[in-house]
Amino acid sequence: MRSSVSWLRLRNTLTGLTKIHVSTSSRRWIFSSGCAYQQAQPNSQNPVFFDHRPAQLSVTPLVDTSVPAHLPVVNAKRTTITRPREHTLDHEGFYYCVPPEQSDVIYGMSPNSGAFDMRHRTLQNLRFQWELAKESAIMIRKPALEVMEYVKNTNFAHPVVRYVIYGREGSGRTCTLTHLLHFFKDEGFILLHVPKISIWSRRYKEVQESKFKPGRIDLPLDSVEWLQHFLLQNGEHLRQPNTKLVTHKTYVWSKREETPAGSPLSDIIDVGIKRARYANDCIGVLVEELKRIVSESDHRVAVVMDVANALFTPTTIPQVDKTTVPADRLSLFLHFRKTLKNDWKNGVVVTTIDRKGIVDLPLRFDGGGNQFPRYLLREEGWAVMDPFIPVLVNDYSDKELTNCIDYNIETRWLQHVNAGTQKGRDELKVVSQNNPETLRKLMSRL
Amino acid sequence: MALAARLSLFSGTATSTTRQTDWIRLFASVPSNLRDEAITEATEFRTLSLNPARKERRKFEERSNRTPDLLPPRSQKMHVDQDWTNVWPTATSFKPSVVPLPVRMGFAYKGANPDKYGNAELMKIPNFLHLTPAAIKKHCAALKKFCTPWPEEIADDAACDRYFPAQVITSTYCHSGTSIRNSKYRIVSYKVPLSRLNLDSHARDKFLRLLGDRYDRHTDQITIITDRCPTRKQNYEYAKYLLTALFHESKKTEPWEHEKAVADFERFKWEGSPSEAAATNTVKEILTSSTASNEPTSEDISPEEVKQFEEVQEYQRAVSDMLNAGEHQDSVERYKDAVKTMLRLGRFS
Repeated sequence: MRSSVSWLRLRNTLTGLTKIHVSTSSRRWIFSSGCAYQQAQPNSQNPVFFDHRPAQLSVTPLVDTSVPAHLPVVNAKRTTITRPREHTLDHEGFYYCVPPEQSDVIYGMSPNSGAFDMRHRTLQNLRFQWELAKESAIMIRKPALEVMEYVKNTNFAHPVVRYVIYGREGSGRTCTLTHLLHFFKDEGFILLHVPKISIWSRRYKEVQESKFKPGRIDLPLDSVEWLQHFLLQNGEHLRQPNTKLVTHKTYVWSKREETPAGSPLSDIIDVGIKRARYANDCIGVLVEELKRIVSESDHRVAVVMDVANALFTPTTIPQVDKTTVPADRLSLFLHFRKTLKNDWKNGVVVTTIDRKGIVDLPLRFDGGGNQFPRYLLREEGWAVMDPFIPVLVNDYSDKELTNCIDYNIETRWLQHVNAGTQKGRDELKVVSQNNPETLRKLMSRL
Repeated sequence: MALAARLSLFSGTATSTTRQTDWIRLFASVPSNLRDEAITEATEFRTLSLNPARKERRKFEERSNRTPDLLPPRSQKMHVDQDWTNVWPTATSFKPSVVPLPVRMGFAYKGANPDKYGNAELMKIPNFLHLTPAAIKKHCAALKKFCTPWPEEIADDAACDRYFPAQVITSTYCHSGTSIRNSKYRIVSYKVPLSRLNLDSHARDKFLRLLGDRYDRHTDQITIITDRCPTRKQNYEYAKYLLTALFHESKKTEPWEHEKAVADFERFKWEGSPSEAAATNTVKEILTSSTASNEPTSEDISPEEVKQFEEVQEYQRAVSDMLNAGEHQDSVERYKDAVKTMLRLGRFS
């Protein structure tokens, strides 16, 4: 009640607000104040998205002469260190920018990169912010630094260590994963990145019966998308000449199609991308082969999985008898569960857990408070993941909150007259309760 | 017709007025000896004597309030150091002249409560004037020659609990009513510590389930309260029977009890849990792949030895604590620390 009153007050004091209309159908942005970051006109052949390439790494603050004079000039705290390995607790709360050449490969924000639809659906808030600011800025926060520290200290001859990132809704678990993705890419890991498991249980595209094991359910189009995503993130490893990533036995897809032993893993992926019917089985093969290969070679695999607890909760895919498909019959889930076990080496598993988008009856009636790992993983997830290292993501500290507001003023996303004042900041702090997601939603209207 | 009858009735009443006047005169405020005169001397003027003559009034007052000359009550002559047990040797109803106490009992709408003289309330209730400390002392002294010495082993309460674990609690009531008996006297509470029954884990679990809320886990006491039989003795025997039946019933294992699954366990059991297997395998794997020379190799180490490691033990405690007491920030942090130590990761500050 209190927060809603404050919010109304905040809305009522609006003066000189620059309206931004976002036309979602054509993805064209028009800035009514005249300062437009995006000027190109869209057409059906070449839809306009922000292209990172011409923008250089923005370390100095953006200064735009077309910005109204009442807006304060604020510089957010940033660091020029772009190697996540070198980030320390001294940089906590600072922003850093992922170099565009890496950002494109890891996060694939350009529409030309494969699996665009999946990426768009899973990372859209971040994508929106990055397009707007013309840079892939990530705030350096403690949970990511913590996991990096552990990974640096890990003996990779030991079984893989599992990390479960948990925290309140909107506290920045997925953003922690983006920082870690950059870290793993920078360290030369093969990324086995699943952007959001729960989209497969709720927002699936096409459903078919598995041919490999009767009774299982395949999601061919979603699997093709994920294979494209995997290929884009790990092209440099897979396309290497004389790569060690080769199959150890022959896989027969049909009477005429087979992949002989010793062929590179990219062949398996190509089969999956070209023949959607086999895409699910290709993912299964890929997971098995990767686990086997990296345990014996010097390659390292980082499994980065958002909303991993969805692997153990039922889906909404309907069946003929009016029931829904349980989690242990969706072949994608079964394949990715194998990566969470610690029966392989030379790898690391980083997962998050979430309540949102989970099709689980108890979660609807539990009051919504419990975010803890054992509760969300349930019996099955616990049996697979234990022992893991839980990593808590807290809401913004005051330092982080200040820097986040500074960044948004600097990039002219926050244009309210009171934005730069102490009063405005205090109000944002109180209304958002230091929660990053709430703060983002608040600022998107100011 | 009806109207005419009424009219005649009315006229009939009117004719008898003179006789009524004579009848009324009988109730005049005149002494009865004078009444005849008054009737006869109807013509004389009479005075209404509302305030009788002072002489007559005095005569009336002298008649009342005359107390007979009696001896003063015995209680006023008592010495303060007298032996009360001789004055009041047995149970008897209250006598105001004997009890040298200014007791009052009962209720008055105005003024103080009625005093002890002529007080029926004091006589109704049972008194304990024959059970004064002095009387009990005398009684005990008289009984002492029949007693044996107190056993030296039962020097204190702890020893008493050790040798006599069962505790039977009854209450005796004196009812203030037509009958001195109160029906609550029959209730028997039978208490015994659960640990003294020497049950194994299965029997204990079953015993507690059968007991329901009759077990207090803070004091480890079983309390069986019986009140369904009419007398105390019957209730006491029934309580003993119940305890015996529960004891033997809990020692039985029914065929359906083997269907109890992990989800039905009251508490997390480390032995045989997936956590135990996972932790043991992981630690064993870590030891196998460890290159340090001072580490023993996996051939030398059995799973039982792995479970005895301090790291695994701490992990066991953390997991059990988290799953039994419920997840909260502290228990999750403790689990995290335990896993970090077990997986040999450094501390993050």
